[in-house]
Amino acid sequence: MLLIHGDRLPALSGTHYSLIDPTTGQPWETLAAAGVEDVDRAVESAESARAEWRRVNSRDRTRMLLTLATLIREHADELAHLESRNVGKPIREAADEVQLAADCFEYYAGAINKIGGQTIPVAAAGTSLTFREPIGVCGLIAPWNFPLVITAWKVAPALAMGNTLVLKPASQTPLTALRLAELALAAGIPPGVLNVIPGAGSIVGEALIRHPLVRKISFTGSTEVGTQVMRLAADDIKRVTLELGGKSANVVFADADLEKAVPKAVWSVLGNAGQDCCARSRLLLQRPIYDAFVDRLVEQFKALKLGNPLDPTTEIGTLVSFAQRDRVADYIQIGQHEGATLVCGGAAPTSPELAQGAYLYPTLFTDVRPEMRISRRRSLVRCCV
Amino acid sequence: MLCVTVFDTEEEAIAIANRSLYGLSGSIWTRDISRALRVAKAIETGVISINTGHSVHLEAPFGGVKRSGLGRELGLAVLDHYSEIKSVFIGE
Repeated sequence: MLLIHGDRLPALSGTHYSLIDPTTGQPWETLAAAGVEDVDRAVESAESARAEWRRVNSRDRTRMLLTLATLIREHADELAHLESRNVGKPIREAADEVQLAADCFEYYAGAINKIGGQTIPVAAAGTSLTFREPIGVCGLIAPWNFPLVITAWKVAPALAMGNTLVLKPASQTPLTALRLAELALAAGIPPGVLNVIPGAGSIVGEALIRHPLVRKISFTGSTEVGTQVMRLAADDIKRVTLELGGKSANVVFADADLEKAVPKAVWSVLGNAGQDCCARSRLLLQRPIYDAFVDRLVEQFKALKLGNPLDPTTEIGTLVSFAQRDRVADYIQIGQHEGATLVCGGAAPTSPELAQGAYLYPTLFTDVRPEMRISRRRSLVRCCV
Repeated sequence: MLCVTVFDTEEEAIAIANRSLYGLSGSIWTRDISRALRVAKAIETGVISINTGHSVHLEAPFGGVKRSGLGRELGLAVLDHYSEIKSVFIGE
């Protein structure tokens, strides 16, 4: 279903698609796939809701976002379960992320009646002041790695500043976004202020960016797609915010506290099974501690519990999809061809309970030289659009 | 997937860290506060943490430099990216 102007609707074309359970490879949920004509409906809904949303006074808007935060916490188990199942993310991480999403709505609820314009002491005789105004209809394009949290990062401040929204979640992971929009209605946020249209990035994302009534695009996803977003947005000088890929370095000097640095090095790259734009996927070790550090890393990598994401003891779940696992597996091959040393991981588990899922053991390469492709390229597959 | 690389000097570590088209996050581990701050300034990134992996905070700006992005999310910084400033002048 799509959520447009407060109603759960099928796509106008009647098209559907299936979500694939990353733990089994089997379809588990069928959803309406939005098309270009649904983008038009959703944008028109958001446009029509602008005046009403601006009329809601700052205290009432604050209260609505706080109520939404409370509803998120009241539905925490349900949201965490959906997210874990949909992304293949350990339930413990999903539960933390639901709380972070609620925190985010509380934070921006507080900003609503504290952030405004200013008066400026200009030279000319008179009074100079600024109004801080909403941009208008914003198109939000969210990723599959932290679907609810990153959606909250966009929706909460955009609503706080008085905008109305069309949200396109990643097509693989739309479930918590749809639920969030229902909770927003229950919190009193008027119909049309937050519309959600899951669908293919190449169709829905592009139509949203091209739509003349959309004044701003906020996109989180790959650098490749971010380039296209910026290019398309240029036609009508649409505002863009882009949060794209990384290949971040974790630099450990010989005087570091290794008791802390080793476990943090593990989790700064393997949190969310490594599917994090902030993952510190390059570890730079100063020579005197190199051998001892690597030994301890290997020990900790091997001790991690890979398993079903819904098992509360699981530390590493599946990757989001089989395509993503194949992509990482390709990088592992490239690393071996380039002459890096594969110290552990690099393969999928073969046990009967895990063999059907998109699992991959945490992989560690040493002897990586900075010019190697595995040191320069990201292993996150293009997502979102 | 984690790629481990060895370095000898601070300058070399900075050069390797910056040898990337991206600049989103990063961490530095050292007990030498002056070095931590020197390296934090020298690394081309939008976000960096010192002696912790915890670099993203709801209340602080988050975003990338180079090909990691444009604009900032989170903190009060994001509010400028969801609003327009209209400048008004009233003559006497």
